[in-house]
Amino acid sequence: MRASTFICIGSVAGLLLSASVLMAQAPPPARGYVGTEACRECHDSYYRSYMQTSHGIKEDKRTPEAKFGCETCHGPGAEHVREQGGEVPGNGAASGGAIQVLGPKSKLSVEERNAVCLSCHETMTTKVALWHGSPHESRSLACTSCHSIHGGHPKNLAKPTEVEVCTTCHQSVKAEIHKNSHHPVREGRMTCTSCHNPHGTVTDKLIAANSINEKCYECHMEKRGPFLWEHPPVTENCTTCHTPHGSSHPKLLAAKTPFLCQSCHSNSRHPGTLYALSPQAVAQGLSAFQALNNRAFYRNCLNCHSQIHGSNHPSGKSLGR
Amino acid sequence: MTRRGKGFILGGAVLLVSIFLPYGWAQEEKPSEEAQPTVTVQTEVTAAAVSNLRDSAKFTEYRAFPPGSWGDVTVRYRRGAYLLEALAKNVARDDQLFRLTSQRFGWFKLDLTYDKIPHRFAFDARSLFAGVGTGYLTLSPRLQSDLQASLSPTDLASRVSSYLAGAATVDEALFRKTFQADLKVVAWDPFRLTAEASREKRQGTRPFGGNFGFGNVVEIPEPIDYDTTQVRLAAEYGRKPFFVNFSYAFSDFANNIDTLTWANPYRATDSTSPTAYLQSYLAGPATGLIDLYPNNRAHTFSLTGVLMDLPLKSRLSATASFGRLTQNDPLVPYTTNQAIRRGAPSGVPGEPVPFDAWDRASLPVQQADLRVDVTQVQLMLTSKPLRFARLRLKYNFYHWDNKSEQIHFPGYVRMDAVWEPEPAANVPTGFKRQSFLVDVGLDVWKSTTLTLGYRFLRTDRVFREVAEQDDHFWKVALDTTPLSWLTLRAAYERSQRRGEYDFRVPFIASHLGEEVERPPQLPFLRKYDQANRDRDSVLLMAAVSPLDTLTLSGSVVYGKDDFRDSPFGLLDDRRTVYSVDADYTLTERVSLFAFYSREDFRSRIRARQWVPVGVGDPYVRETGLDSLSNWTSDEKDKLHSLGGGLQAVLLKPQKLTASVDYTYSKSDGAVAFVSPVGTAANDANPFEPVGFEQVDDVRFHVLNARLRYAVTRGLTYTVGVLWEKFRYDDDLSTVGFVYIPVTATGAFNGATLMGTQLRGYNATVVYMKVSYTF
Repeated sequence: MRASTFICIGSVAGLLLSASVLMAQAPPPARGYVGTEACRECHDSYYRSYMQTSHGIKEDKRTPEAKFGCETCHGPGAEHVREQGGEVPGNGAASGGAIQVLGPKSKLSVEERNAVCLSCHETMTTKVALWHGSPHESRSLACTSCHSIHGGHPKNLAKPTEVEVCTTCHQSVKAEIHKNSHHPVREGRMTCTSCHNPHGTVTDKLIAANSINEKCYECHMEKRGPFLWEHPPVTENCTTCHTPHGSSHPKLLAAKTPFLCQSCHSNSRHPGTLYALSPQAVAQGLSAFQALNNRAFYRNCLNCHSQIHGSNHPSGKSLGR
Repeated sequence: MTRRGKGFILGGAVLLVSIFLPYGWAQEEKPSEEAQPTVTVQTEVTAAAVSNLRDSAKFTEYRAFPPGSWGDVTVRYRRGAYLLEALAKNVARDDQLFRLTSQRFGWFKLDLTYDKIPHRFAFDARSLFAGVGTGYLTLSPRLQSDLQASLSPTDLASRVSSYLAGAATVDEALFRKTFQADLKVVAWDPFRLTAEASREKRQGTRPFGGNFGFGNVVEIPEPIDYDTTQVRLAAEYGRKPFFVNFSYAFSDFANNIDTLTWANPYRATDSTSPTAYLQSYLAGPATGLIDLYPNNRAHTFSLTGVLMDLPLKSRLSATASFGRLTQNDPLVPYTTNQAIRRGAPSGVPGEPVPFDAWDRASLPVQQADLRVDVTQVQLMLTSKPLRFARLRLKYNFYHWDNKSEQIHFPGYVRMDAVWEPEPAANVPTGFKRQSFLVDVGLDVWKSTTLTLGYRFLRTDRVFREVAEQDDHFWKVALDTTPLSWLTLRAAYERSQRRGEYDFRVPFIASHLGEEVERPPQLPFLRKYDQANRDRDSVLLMAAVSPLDTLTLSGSVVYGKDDFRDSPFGLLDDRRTVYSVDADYTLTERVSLFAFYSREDFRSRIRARQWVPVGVGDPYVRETGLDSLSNWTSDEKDKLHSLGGGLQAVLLKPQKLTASVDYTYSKSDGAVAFVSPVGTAANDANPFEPVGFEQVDDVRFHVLNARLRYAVTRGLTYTVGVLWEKFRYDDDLSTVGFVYIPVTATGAFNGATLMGTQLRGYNATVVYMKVSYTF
């Protein structure tokens, strides 16, 4: 092929490419769009709150502000402006449809509301990639049930903190995090999403890891093992013995020791022993420290079996070394 | 230059200009005011006075309230698309946080964080030991000799009590200090890259149980000095209809104090006792050795893919991950007790110790060399085949494949006191879970969805009692918002677990496949994590917003587990939680909230007290389910939590605001026992057992009150008070607590304690805060 032909093809290709780039840069002539300034005339506080969020960052081409501003999510506003008796500026001569209210009072279905958010967020991050088929999606939860772009709260939450949002429905957890033994949630050092991904995961209970144990090991990695002498229920599931949201028993245990341990261990000699006071001991006013032995009082089983999660000691098969 | 060459150059120039000219022109389109840099500085200084700070470590369990002052600073620099933010919180406190964020919107975000979190266990615990915080806890030889010379258990209790009275006190706590760097690059969207790295240092001490025999428990401070390094790299592509994410995660845990050697207060010299049941001062080791958590490492590769926009509004997602966990610490010797040497008596008469048990060379292997491979695969298909129907199909596979070899030990040393010639091998348990789920959601009415679901879970285990277990789950749920101000949710799930239980499996595995005559476990007991189980759970929830300013919600959660096929072990388990919540904006200036929750838990277990070939023996003397040595415990917990608060704007607009909130939690636990009463000849526990009325009982008040005055938009003053009262009573750990327990006759009762049990407190923090933003 001759060089001149190459030049012509290259130039045409370049011009076509330029045209597409130019076309991509400039906003298309949008039917029914009135522009953000028109929205601000009546909804300035909403605009200001939206501009405080990452959605209002024009420099990030993925954001609504880099596209059609308010109308990116709420739809073209010409009809709405006309209904309110306003002048429709610019290219709003033709109607583009009704404005979309996305909050709790929306007349749209949950699926329709979510489609607005997911049009961007579904492919933006792994966190939301498994939303479809997740427990919250299956229970018809809308994005705006938990999030509000106009709320002014961190992570665009509908309430000031994650705990307040989640415990709106998961009310029993609110009481649990106030219990005696707890993760540092109420101290603000952990939050619900430290362990869960409410948008969908591969694991039960929306745990943000391949299994419950693998999530626990992210902070408690010393218990990951593997150990020479395993404690099998530990390896299978930490929640066999622990209740991670909170417990009235020490160490987030699901029940009081030694009775928790005796649920599985009724071996000969001391494991199956009835650790209770006798009427005579009670009549004498004896405490557990006087009337019982070191397998019952204080930390009971854990007084000796301190390596309860597993042991690497050749003499540690009873998890006491 | 030839004409062809000039032609190429000209064509190339046209091509390059036509690409970059419009891009560069587009870059010029920035409103001039947004390119102006802005700097915002927020500072906050708090001065506080704290009362009764050291009543209990519980008050500052995960936080710090140093008397005096501390500060917070946030500096924000923004210029166009670039943001630089520096945050310093709780500066100079044990719970301080620093973060530096550098971000170019649409390009990248880099966060550098330093976070310190305390975890306090006890103040003023008494310790006889020197070397607290290290791997060597020592005692003075004079003390050990004096205690070893005790004349009787009563004499022993008296001697050690006098030493403990003069012992030093230690605070037991650990601190997590984490350095973390997170980088996200979105510049090449839809391709994105993430890199995260962290290094955590955890140091301190933690209460720990050491023992030298059944009659000699010594509470010691476990030294904590951990380093954990975690790295995660991910690459993803996200543009419809595809989403793909590939990641690699690495985690390395290093314990800088591998072992803990601690002195036995009651023995200055090593000896071996035939049974380890002898009184502490009469026999046993001079030191003990615990192998603390071993170093371990994990690598995980994961791939997630989603295919969207398939026919019938379907999408397919798939996740696969593979991980490898390894641990190869050197093994410690069987014991440090020099008296357990070749030829010394063992726990079985006529079978002397075969070698020097304190010599590492006597071990069958020198390193642990353990490995687990973890594989997970999930496939999920969601679809909306009809306008009113949704379908979800999911398959999940998870395999914890323990590749560790079994190591055959000819015996072990019990509590560093005596050689037990019982051959045993480690049991590398593993499991595999496969589940299949089908869910159908039907829009049965306006804003009403009925969900029907079924899930099947198959669990296969290696070396555990139930080799193959099936769980079936059936679920029905109704979610409806019939009115814009009313949301109702109801859900019921029923599950059934079934599997063949063989209690001998772990013992056979421990004996390398050989049958064990009369394993020490009660043959009728079923461990609840594997036992046949019927489970019912119900959730009811209602949320009402009759006014824009008022929201009321309530829920009931009920759960019941029945282990009908378990003659012994956990028999059943019940849980009921009632909750109500209210939020009310009384006026535009005043808002209120309140909540109440009540929880009831109940669980029952049945067990048997027995000795081999003796009373209650299920193999020889009492082979049926009934026995006078049986006992049942009935554990109940009742918890109440309530709270409320208000926020009020006293002077508008936000000039003077006040807020008060109060929460109260009350927990009452109790354990009752039932056991038939016989005689010593036919009943291993021949007494009428009395239950415990105070089991982890808690009363916890928190009152928080603040008054905030905005002098100007940037300057505010806040005064506040935080009052907390915590009370804890437990019949087994606090009632009648003494550092050296003694029996009714004053004899040493087998424990030397540091006093790290939970304690109550009544603390108040009064503070003043000045915040300035410019």
